[in-house]
Amino acid sequence: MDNGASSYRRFLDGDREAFDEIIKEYRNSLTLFLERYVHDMATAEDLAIDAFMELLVHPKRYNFKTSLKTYLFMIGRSRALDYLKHRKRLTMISLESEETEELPAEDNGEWRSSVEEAVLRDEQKRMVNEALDKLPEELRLAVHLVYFEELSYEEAAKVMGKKRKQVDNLLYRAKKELRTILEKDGVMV
Amino acid sequence: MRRTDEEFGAEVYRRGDTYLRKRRKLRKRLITVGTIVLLCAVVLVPVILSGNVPLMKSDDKVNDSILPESADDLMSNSGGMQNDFLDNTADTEGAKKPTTEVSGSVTDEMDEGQSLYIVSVTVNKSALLQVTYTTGGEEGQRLFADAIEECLKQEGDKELLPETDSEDLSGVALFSEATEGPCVTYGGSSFVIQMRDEVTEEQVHIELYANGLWLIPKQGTKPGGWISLKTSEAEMLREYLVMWMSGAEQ
Repeated sequence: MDNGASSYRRFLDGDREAFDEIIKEYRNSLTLFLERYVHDMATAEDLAIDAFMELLVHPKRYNFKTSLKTYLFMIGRSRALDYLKHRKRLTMISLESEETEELPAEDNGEWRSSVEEAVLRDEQKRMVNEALDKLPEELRLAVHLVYFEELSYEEAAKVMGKKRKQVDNLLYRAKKELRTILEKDGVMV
Repeated sequence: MRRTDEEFGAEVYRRGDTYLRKRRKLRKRLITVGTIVLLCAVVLVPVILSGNVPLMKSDDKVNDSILPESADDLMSNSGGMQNDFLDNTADTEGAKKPTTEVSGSVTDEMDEGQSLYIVSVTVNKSALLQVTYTTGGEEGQRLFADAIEECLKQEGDKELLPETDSEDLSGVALFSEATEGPCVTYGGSSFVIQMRDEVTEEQVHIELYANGLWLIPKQGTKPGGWISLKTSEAEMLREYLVMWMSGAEQ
């Protein structure tokens, strides 16, 4: 499997359906990944659309040196960080703003579960996923990319904008903490 | 609500289209603005480089600087050929080098029993020049008086009135490019007169008008200096001189 590169090549050759395939293949995993940044499914999906849009309108930016999935996740992460920065600024401007675009917690949870179901077909992965929420963000993201998205350490490092060694360390710490959490929940590790 | 795959895909394409449309519009706008700026630069740069714009802007300043403060100043400054006009223009043009040059020589001739000085002037561009020269004859006195009177009509400045009963009176001669004798022309961004070394104070007394105003020569300098005038001054001077000449013919 080439993580979407061949589909993208077909898209560049003029096959629009190939891009639809890419969307179908990665929309859920990308949305779930972005949700870990923004903690809101609607926003995550919005950002995922933007990421795909960028892939669509700037075809020459992708150089095929990394997998398409890695590249897509890199775009998504960049969008998510921009969004967070923008939201932080907005919050600073109007601290008393009561408007929020985020979904109610219940709807968000439901939505998230349905996406997780689509992405995490493995029962064990779902259990890990639940425990994952208790980890600090960086550890959570590293585990998400390597364990759920099955990216290599190098690819995960690229997506996170870190060095491979740093990802190594993050995963080491994440495993340690996850073990503790899962053992507490009575899961044999 | 969560979008279906089709809705998701459609939204991606919709946003892509919107983005591309905006980008095209922005590019068009940039190209338009860039073209306008480029055209302005193409039109303005030669004008600026030729010196017309800064010269026009400083016209008022030039006029002020060349205007004598009083008749006393005017008369006291109307010295002989050793006067150099260079410093008159140094203030108004700064370090800018004149672009048009005029070389001149003066010879002494007799005309119908009157002593006349013929000033030959050569300019490398069309330029307007008014030179007053001293003859001491009656005709010269009349011409000079007329010229000053006309000058006063133009400027309405009583301070410019010279003492017409002075023994040394002047005639007015006009010279243009590559010609000898009186004539009028105008144009060019500025012009310069170089007084030849052989012209001495004893031979001729030359002074210069600009805008119908007397340029104050600086005392105590040697011949060989340079004079320069602004185009606008030359144009005004031309109008004045045309009027003066038609008046003189009648």
